[in-house]
Amino acid sequence: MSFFDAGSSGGGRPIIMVRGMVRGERVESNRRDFLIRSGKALALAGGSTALGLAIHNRDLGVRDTGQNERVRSFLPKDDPALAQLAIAKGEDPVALVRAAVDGLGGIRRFVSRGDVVAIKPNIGWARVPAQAANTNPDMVAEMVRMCLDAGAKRVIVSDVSLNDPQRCFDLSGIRVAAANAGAHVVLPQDRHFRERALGGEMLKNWPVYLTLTEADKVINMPVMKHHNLCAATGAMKNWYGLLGGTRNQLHQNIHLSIADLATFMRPTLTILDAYRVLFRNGPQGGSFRDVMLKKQVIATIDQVAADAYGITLLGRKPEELPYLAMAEERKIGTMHWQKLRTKIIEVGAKPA
Amino acid sequence: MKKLWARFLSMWPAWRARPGVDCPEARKKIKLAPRGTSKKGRVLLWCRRISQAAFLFLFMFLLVRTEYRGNFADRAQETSRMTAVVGAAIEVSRVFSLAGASLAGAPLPAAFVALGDGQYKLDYLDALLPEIRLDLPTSIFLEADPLVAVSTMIATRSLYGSLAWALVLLGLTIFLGRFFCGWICPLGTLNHIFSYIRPSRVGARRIQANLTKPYQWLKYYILIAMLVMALFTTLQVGLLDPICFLTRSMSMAVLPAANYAVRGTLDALDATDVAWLKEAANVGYAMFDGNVLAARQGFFHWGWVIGAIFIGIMLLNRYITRFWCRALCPLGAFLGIFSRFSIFGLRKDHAKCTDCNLCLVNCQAADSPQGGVKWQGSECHLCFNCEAVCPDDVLHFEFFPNLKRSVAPAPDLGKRAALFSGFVGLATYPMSRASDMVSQNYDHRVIRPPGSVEEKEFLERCIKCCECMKVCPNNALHPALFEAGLEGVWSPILISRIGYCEHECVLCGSVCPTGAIRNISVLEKVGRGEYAGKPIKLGTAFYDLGRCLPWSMDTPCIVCEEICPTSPKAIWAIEEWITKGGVPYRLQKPKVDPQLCIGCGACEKVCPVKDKPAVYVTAIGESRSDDRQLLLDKNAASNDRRWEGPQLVAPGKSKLPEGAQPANAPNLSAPPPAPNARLPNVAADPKFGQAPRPDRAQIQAANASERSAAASEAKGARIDATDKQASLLPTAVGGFVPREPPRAFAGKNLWEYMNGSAPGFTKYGFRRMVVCEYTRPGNDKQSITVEIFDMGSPRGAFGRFAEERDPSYAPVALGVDGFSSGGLVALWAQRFFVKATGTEDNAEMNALLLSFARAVAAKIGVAGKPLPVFARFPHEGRKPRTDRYWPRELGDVPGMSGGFSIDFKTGGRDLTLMIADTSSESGAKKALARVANAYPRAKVETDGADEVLSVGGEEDAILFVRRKGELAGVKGRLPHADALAWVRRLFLRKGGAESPAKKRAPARVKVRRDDDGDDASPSGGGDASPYGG
Repeated sequence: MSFFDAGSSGGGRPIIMVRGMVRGERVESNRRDFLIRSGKALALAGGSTALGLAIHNRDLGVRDTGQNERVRSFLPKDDPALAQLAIAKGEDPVALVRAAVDGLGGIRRFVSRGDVVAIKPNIGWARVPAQAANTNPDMVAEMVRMCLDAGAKRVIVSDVSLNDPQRCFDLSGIRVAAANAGAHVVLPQDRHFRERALGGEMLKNWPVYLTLTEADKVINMPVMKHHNLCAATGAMKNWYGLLGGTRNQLHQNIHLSIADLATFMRPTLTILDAYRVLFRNGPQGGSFRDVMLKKQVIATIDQVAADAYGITLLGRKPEELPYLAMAEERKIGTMHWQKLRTKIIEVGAKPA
Repeated sequence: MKKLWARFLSMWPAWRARPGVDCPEARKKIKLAPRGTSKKGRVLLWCRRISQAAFLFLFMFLLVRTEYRGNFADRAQETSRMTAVVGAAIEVSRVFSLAGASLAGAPLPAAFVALGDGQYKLDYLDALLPEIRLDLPTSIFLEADPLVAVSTMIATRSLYGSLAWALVLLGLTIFLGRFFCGWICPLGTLNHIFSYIRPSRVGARRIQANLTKPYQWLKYYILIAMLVMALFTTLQVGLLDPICFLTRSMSMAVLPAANYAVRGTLDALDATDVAWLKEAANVGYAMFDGNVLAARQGFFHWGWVIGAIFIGIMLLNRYITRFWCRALCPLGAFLGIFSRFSIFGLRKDHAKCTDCNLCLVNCQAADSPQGGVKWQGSECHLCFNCEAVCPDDVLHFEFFPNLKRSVAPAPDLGKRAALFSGFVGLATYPMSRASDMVSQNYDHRVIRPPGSVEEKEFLERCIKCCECMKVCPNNALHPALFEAGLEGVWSPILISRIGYCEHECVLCGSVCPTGAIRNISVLEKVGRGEYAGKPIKLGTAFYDLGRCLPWSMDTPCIVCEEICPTSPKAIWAIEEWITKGGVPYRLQKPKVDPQLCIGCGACEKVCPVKDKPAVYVTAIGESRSDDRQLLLDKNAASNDRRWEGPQLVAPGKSKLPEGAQPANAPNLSAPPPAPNARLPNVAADPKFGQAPRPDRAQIQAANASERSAAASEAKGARIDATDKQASLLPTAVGGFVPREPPRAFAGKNLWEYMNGSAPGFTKYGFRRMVVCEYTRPGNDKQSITVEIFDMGSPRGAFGRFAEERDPSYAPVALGVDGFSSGGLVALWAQRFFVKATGTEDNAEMNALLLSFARAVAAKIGVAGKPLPVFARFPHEGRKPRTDRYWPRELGDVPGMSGGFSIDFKTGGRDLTLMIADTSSESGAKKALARVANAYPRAKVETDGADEVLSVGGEEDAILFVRRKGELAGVKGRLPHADALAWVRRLFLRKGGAESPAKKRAPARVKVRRDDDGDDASPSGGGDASPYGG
């Protein structure tokens, strides 16, 4: 008995009967009941109003457009005593990767003990290695081993494929090769993508594949090949594989979108596979006849220079790629790769 | 309606319940999950339940695994084979690169095929391409389905592949009866389970419902109709065959829905910021990945209809136990017919029966187990419920029971009704074929999977099980509703907008149990090896030119060309140089080569015209059809002569001159361009590591012409005279008037005006620009473009101005500062950076540009003052016009914050002095730490109140000094002590370790106008920042 109903109804006689009430019985209400009911109604009305106000116009299309500072930079320290660009030539793809990285001062310059390293090869197409549409699996495996030897805690190998990913990862040989070498091979799932501000000139917000961007070190491992729309694809265009969403629309301004992506993403190291080079019918080839052998691997800390050198292997000039000029203007790197400290290594060993 | 139904029922002899129906004892004892009264009964029940669960699990397991997932272990062998392929291909290419040179001594790789006459053709090891197949017999349930086997056998007069398994089941049924329904059938088990969950009828009503009733004969009529249809070559058993029905319902509706729900829940958990929820999501992913979760979410056309039918069938169990099995299932009817010779059956001890009706309560199939009536053997599922619950030892399942006494003969269908149902089946065939969809008006959307047989035979074979759709890795195959005509309901069609046919995938053919899709090899599908030049075509791609970006909107795209999987690509492009906004660029307009196109639909899938695609595939030209062809000769080789397969010409008999390349062959022997081989001495070359400076004038000239042209057609918002910023534009100067109203661009769409160069403005704080092009009436050749950039602040305006300025340009007394260079006059005033660009570089034009610039400067009014910070730099040795503002990375030093710099030349040395734009001590500290981090050999020392960071030692110095919140530095080649002295002159605060007094500039200097006109005023404009702007 609260004090509100003191004296109003004697003896605790139940006045309101809901269940088992006899039909026709007079229903009376007391003050206590009235207050409880009104309190509940008020709480419900107040609560819903508060909720409505709290979420009113919430996130109404307001997005962080981002500025240029949204850069994911994994760049290593530049050391004037060490080369910035290393070109290894020889027969054995595996030896070439090692030699090229050694030419820059060795893997320990780039990977420290305990690092989580993300390696981003090109695994875009359901093609076998000999068709040269994807990065050479042996090279990826060798890179994984080198990172682990340098003390990396975890090496992740992944890409956002264009064909069926299961098939791309298998046919490219990268799933088996990288996994055997000790890498975590990750196939992209929707949940790995989050919208991020790229801060680009044209690319403002885009779903980004976080598996590749949220690591301590990021190694870009593209393959040099022909591309009909933008002449050639190599290191910078490989960052298309970072994006989800309707990335096929990027073709409408392919050079600017490549430049924007390369501005956003600055890898620790770029290893350009120019062993087998797809020189026509790019970027997916399909026949061994579209492939020629160049037997080179380029390692560099300057992704622009990698492309600038790579396109010469296709018999074209860096000036033909507008995105290189844009990158140069933005000081991402230089298209005049000859100006870098360059080391050329001839690897004598024949494949076993 | 009710009356009609009653009348229908009255046509058949009634099976009446025995008197015990209303026995109150039975009502009490009714239990839905019988426990069994005897040990034998209990064992039998549990055996049955375990069998049912096991087969349901097996069915679901195989169904979930009906998709390709890469497997690490199983592919080891594949890898070694692949390595062999790779190695051989390298070998081939190597030999190929020696074309024309000697092959002597080298064994010819197996990839070469001798053509005779000394010529060899490269076979390129096509036969070694790996094929991806499933590792489990995923369609085993369908293959063991006797109805599927018999009906396709009737329709096609042949028995396909593994359907022979069905004969085993059929044989067992002949001897044992319908054990399949009670013990194996996964749909039966599901019906069983759903009958158990909250049935609406209990007690006496349930007993009544479980009496044998005439509606149960419906399934026999369905069976008759379907078999007659099959005889007339239209196969419809798949609509109601339980295995087909369940496979279809599960893979098209239930599993995708479960996948969507589970993944959605887990993704929502994963997207939270709560650690333990994320962990829970990870546990969930680990648990469900590979069983509930498909490799990719499927979205199926008409999936909801299939799902709704399934749910409806399941709900019917609430009213009548296992209604599907009793009334609809043609397989049940089929097995029932064969079970009439069974040697296994129910013996009833009628004398002992007390009419408790417990057997009826628990009966699944309504087969009259109770005493006093004959058992309907062909209805019974052999679930053994009745024997288990019988309290009086009446019912016994045993071999060779006295069949004559206890088993009713075959169901009395009635000749007329049976004939009628046969007639229904008979009529369906001509009626559906006389309809238009199959032959006359073939629907262009009916694109069948690769390897499908010709449409008429396809309809004889397809059982609508949807296995092919389940296994398709790209979600390309979908159940048709009426697209393929009445006969083709739930048959597979390819909807490219949702998914395309993966080039080297043949999984649909490998799971098809009836051969409607042949089990083809990859080589046959893509046309390599023995099938060279004859790939399987599903249809042909067409362009909708009105919607295509390059064709109708002059916008570069050709995503379709990129994804086209054939080699050479079936999509090729006409190249055109067009001018848009005055800027010439290459436009590629795609076209289809109908001979090369395989109709895979990849182009349609990726076309960025999202709703109705600009390129789409229709079924015409599919290789399985002889009459629906686009080209006169469907087997003709492509007339594409972009390149021929290279042919190796053996040495000696070479038809080509020595050393020549085969026609169109890649020039493999040509050496790559020689890269720069030097690894130069770093210390000796001071410029090393610096980016080469492009020719400024050249770049500016190029940009200027591009921009002035772009200004006339760029997409920027047109603005009117009331615009404040646009009012700064002159109306007319020297006879030049605006060609069009001015345009404005903000930071968001600046790239539309200067594709690729916008960051060069935004980094200085760009806000908005207006641009206007001026011409003389009647003279289009000469034009002047005036751009006014609002850079947000004087410092931003100065920064951009300084970046575009070169020390060699002639200074102009305009605004705060200005310069003139060939065809360009620029100035900055207040927060505006102004450029006037002409189409020519001559005296007249330059004078005009100056007057334009002057006009703008006059409209801006008070120009403001130079940035006060530059007054802090010493005066002696200043190089004129080298003052810069850096929004970040002062002096290109990585990690440094923004700031101001001036170049000096003193004592034969080049220096750059820098003052960082730091406002707080912690900011300065952080900037210094970042620089230290960027240079591995940076040294950081403390010298009194100063923190000194030096890089590069005595001769190649970068040196920064921090004094409290101030940070200044020098770059150049000078001894450490000198560098320190130089830097210390730049501070406002007095430090502990003083530099020589005579070299020290006062913290504030008097205004002194330099010859070069780029000096600073000390008082500044009263800005909040000590450095101005």
